[in-house]
Amino acid sequence: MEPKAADSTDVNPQPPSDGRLVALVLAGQRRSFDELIGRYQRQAVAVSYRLLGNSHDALEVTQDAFLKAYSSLHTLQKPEAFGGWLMRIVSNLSLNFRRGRKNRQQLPLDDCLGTGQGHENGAGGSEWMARSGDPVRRLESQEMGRRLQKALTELPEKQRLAIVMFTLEQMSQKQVAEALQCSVEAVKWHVFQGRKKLKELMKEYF
Amino acid sequence: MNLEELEFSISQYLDGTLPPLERAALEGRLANDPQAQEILAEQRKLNELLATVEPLPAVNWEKLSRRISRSVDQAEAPAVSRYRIGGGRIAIGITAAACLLIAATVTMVLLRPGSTYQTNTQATGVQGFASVAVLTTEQPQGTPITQIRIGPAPRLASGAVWRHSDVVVSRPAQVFIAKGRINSQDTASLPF
Repeated sequence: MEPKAADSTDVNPQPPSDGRLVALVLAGQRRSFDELIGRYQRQAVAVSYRLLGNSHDALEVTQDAFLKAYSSLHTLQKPEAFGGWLMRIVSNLSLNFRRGRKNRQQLPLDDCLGTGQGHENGAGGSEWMARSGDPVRRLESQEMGRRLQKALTELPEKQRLAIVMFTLEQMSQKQVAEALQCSVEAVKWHVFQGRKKLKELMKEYF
Repeated sequence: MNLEELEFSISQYLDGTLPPLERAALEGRLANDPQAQEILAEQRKLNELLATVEPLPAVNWEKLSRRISRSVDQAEAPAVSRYRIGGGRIAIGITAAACLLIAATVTMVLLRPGSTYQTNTQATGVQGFASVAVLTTEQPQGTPITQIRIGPAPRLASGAVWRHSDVVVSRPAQVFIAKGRINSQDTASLPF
């Protein structure tokens, strides 16, 4: 009886950790950074989009954030905390985005956007709710989305980031703490205070 | 627990981040406290409101990933790894070890008995080394015409008067003068 061939999926079932990938990149394996891009690009776009409210800007910020992360990867103190560190870069770039665009050689990103998005006119609104077909509900949801987006922008920076990252994007508290450079307890507090303020700002819905 | 603490606990409770003991206590309170129940209902409603936030735009993630990767290809590479175990770290280690070895060797040579850097302390019977000044490389020949003791004058040596001068931390025990003039220095008026 021939020995059973080893299943290739059993050889290395665990994907490499962020820390391992960071170490590989720093050791010269540039392609390992592509795996980090694949892991975090959605989260980066989401956070940036929630802060900027515009998908084109969000894609641009995301690309810039990965570039900045790559070129300063050697400054990362805790390689395992790459995700939180990257989100800190994303949030800083997003918050600074409106201060001015840099002149830089950049690859166009608009064709990375799908054709089905219909809420990029700055008016806000919950598209998936608006698809319900009920005109009254559609208007209500659009108005609610607009108010919610406006209310989010009125929150203090830390509270807004905590709400966006933890509540909306469901990042772990540890990762949010890394991104905000604060303790997990402080993240809980920022989320709590942010919710309180949002409740005040949207009191007509209560 | 004041109102804000209660609200904070309920916020963590809904997020699933409240520690088990506090969670059990809060659930007990929620069962009987209408105010706590009202706060919980309000926070649930706010969470539902937040859940209505518009979804992300449709993005072709594979294409975006390729674009970012191409941009990174053109970017400046990160600095040399501190994780790489290569010649750099080994060279630093060897250099450090060599420095330690040289320092130890020099110290042993300087302190070995008979070294010209060791002070002759037999004349005074004082134990220890003088760090500077008289090196006994050339002993005077014949009977000394005079002998100068450098140190506190006899009337000061036992008193506390000279102690204010703490600048001189070492001194030669003795200076022998084979030929020379009579020392006219008034040592009695100096601390040393």
